[in-house]
Amino acid sequence: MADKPMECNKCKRDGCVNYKEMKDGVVQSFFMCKSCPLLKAKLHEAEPLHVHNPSIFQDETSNCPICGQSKEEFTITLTLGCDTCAETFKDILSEEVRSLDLIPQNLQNKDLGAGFHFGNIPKAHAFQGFSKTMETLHLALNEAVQSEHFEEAADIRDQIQKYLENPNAGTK
Amino acid sequence: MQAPNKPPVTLTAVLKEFSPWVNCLNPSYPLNRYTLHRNIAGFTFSEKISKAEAVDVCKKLVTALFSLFPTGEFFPSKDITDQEHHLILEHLYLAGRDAIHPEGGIFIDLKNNILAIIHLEDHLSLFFHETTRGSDEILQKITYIDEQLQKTIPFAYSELFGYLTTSAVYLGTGLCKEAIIHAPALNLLGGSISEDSKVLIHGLHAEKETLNNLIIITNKYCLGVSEKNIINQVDEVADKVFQAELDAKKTLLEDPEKKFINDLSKKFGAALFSKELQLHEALSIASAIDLGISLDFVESKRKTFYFDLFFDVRRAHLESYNPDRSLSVNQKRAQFFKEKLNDIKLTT
Repeated sequence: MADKPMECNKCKRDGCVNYKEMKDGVVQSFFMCKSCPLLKAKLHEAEPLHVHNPSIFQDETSNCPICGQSKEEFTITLTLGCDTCAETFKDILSEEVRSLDLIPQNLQNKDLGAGFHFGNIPKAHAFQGFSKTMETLHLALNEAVQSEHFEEAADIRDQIQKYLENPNAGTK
Repeated sequence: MQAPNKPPVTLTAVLKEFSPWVNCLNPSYPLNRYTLHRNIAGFTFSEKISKAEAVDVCKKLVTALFSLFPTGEFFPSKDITDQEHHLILEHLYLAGRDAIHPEGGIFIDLKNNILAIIHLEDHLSLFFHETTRGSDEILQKITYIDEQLQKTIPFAYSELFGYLTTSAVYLGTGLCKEAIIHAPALNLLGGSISEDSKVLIHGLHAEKETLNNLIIITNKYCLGVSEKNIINQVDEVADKVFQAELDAKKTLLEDPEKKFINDLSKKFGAALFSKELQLHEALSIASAIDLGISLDFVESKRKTFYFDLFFDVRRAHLESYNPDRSLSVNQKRAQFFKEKLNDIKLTT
């Protein structure tokens, strides 16, 4: 068994690139997946990311107001520093979950407004988000039927039924 | 008269007890592991958290866990030695980069088979191990515990992205299912595993090669799928791989490959007479013996040999359970392996 982990240090996907760099005489080794934003940033060190995409990093006031994470840091690491980061960087995050293949194919072109999540929800959110959740579920159901993923469609149909019967219980 | 003091419970001793895979029902498909990632709403997540906030989060979670599992034990990070830390990483096959925050810790309830780490990457990582097939029951258990915890602790949640986790990979349900399959016969016969777009198939530490015949099947998506779907998708592929392994064993049983019998005898001899064994050698021998047991080429009272010592032959385990400093790790491994072979004999 390999003692050394071979996974992307950031997103935990298959780490196919072993990136080594020397800093202050110490060699540091990183495993990264081919689509890792950290790898892209390392490879373009001479030309920082904002040179390629100036619109993302110009506005420093749009850092997360709670944990202070900057857009640049978020784009590179794709890690949330607090729950407010999800709202602050929702546009970047929405793009990244699509481009990094973190959502199923049938949701790739889904409208952002409806939300990506349709698993269990906290009871406190059940009534608040009732119509939004129903919209999400119906959209997902239509897409599953259109793409002929009938097993998935049946599961979503069951979720809608359960949710209608008891919105407080969340979707399952 | 004063009652004698209860001996202190050590993390090493508790972890030794926490080995659900030893009682697995099937040596080829010994274990399913579920990990639930959660963060408390309104607090900075573990990677950026301040000391005061980290203490507060830990206190809230430990209180909630004890109210649910009063028979549990909590081991704060500050009391965990480096060796014990390595032991945890090995025992839960976490990647080497994962470190528990100094204000976090590990909660273990042996009675309920629950293990939780506070401040690993997220505020709470709950681990559930399942050695029998019963996905509906385990999903009910996970949902129940999640709901009970949320009665006192609001978890970070967004209507857009679901439950919020530090890594974008676990956004949504925050649920990861890993099916662990030992498939030596399938590998021996050169069988291939068909790709499936909904799951990831990899080795122990997410490496592409499945070393020592160990295959891990994990859900690819946490977002845009329900918990039930996640479990079904992994189960579907795991069942296929497991069936392929059973078929391969059947083929080998009907027409045993002489090469395998020769290979098994050599490995058995090496295990018996080696003075030093490296990890990959030990696991390769254990895997062959395990297959030998399944094919009745090896006589053993144990159901699984491979998973019996899968974790115990690793560095931190050997160092923890055998503190003899005069022996190297490889010597300890060879010694340990030899002891395990006591009740095993070749029948071919």
